[in-house]
Amino acid sequence: MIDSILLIDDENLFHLVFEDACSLLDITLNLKTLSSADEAAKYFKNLVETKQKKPDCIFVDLNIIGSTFNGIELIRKINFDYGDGVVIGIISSSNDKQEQTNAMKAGAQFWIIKSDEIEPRLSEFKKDFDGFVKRKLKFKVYA
Amino acid sequence: MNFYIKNNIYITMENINDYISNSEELLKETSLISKADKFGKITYANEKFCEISGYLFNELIGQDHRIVNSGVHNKEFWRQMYETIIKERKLWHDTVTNKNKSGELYYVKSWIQGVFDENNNFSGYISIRQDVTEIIKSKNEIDRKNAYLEHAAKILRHDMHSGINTYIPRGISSLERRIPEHLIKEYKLEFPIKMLKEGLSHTQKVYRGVYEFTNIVKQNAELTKSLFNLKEILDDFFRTTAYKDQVIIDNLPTIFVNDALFCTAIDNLVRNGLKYNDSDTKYVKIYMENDCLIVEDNGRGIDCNEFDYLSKPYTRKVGQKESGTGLGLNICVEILKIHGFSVSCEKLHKGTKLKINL
Amino acid sequence: MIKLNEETKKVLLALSDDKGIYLEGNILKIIDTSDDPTFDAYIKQSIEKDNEKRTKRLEITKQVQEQNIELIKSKGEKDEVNKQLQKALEKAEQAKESAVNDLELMQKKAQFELIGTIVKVALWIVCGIGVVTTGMFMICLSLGIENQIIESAWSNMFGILLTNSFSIIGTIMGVKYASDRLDKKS
Repeated sequence: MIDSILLIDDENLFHLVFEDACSLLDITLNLKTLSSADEAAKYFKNLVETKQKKPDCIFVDLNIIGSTFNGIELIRKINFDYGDGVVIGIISSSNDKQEQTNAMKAGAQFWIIKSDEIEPRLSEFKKDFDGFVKRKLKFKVYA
Repeated sequence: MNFYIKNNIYITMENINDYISNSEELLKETSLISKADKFGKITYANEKFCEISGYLFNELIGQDHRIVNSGVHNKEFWRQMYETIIKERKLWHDTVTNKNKSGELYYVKSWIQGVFDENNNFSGYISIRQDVTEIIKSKNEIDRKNAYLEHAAKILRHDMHSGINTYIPRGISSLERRIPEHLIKEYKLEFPIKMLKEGLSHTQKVYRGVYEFTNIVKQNAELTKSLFNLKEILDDFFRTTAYKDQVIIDNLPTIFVNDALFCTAIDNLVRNGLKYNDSDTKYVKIYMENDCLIVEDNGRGIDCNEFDYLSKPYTRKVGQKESGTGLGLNICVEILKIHGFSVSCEKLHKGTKLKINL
Repeated sequence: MIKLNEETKKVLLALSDDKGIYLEGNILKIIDTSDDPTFDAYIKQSIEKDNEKRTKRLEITKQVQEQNIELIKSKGEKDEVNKQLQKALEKAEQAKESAVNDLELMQKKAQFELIGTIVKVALWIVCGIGVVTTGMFMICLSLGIENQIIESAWSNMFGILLTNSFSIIGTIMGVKYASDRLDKKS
């Protein structure tokens, strides 16, 4: 079980899908959801500055409507600007190879394709989670 | 209050706050920054670090800092580093050779500080590095080339020495002994023999000059000086040259010089004075004036700015029709500098007056 | 893991037996049920029911999501179709206007032509009568027959002709002018 997860996605319906999937698959009991990248950046910066406990894993949507920057830029900020190597990756309906390369360079560790088959992918991710924490696994796409 | 920071960034007290607030961005853009825990495992690396080391962010986090170790530095080097940081709790600074993901070496000026927690226990490292690979590579290249040049000079000295100083003089004197006097007169061999001897004498002098010069370009070399009368050694040097009649030498003092090098330097100035000269009667005068040795010619003339410029290596006057390497004046000035003499230049109405302060 | 006291456990068990109400949510996963097989069975049952609800909700949410996507897609298509219809409508309006314009022009032209024809016929009739009356008057004069009736008819007719000549000419000119304009318009 992952202690805590942060999901950043502008689609509120997907928040519900993700929450139920995480509960059914025993992935986490502590899920926090945010709807914009700007909000997430502020939230994370505050966590770092006040030395509070950070989430163990962060899932970021690729295109977050209503934000000034996209998911990949948010990942770069969290890794390079706020100085934190958390387990972080993209969850998106896109399977674009170029975007996946950009995400990898920004420090993302995984890319999960959103669809109605989300449960098997999350289940596989749960098994790989330890490998991501220890930085033993390379960038992986769950398609 | 104004002050300079390294790299000539000039700031005043008024704009220092702007500088400091922008310097964080500047630091991130120009420096390799990393943090490691007390076991040496990397916990953070900035984008510049990833770029120079060739590793992705996720390939660095959690890895031992030795991932970029090149193996160039020995154990003693690292032991000293740890002692400075952990025991002495001081900032450690040195130039480190690292290895990137492709196996290529890169060089960084490193500043590493220890991080201590609330209980004053050592908890990790923070490092800031500047990439100096280009500078070090250039320096290594220069050192390598210097070594080659030194080696070439050694070979030159060694191979030419026996020919010029042993075989040719012996051959000429042997020839003189064996040919009877009446045959020399009959075949009018006096003049060719005289030319051979004078040619050899001049070559030996030039060779000595080159020999001494190659000695001084060696590292930690010292100039050998003796007491010589300048007029005597210059007269002797120019006697065997084709332009001896165009060189007028006045009474000169007796001082400590390296005779071969000094004559080589003055010879260069004299030849320049005669080469870059459009007068009908070309000449160069060498005389004393107020403790300065003057070399005066009636050539085209150059002023002090031109002289300073042409004293640099590989520089020549623009549009010069005569051939040249651009090194002669530079070597001449260097020889005089090594002797402790300074050179200045004055353009005359017709010609140049060079003052060598003895 | 959290431990519940015996009283709480009894209440929860009673609720499930009497009213079929069970605990729900992630809290079920952190309740310690060791040393109590009955309560353990209750928690397992609650988890099962909770999972059923979650699965059902997940399916519905996914369906709603899909439908949303479909709706957004259809809305997009609908908007596209609307745009095209709007364009077609505008084109039809324009065609109708130009057709109506043409019809009006044609009607006006026909009207003017008719008026012109009527006036011309009237003119010919008047002229014809005039010529016939003049002829008859001349014959009477030359033959010396009694011609008072013809004289008065002739003088009346020429009097009317002269007095109304300007209005007749004006009408002819107006008809001619209007016809020319219509021709130019069409």
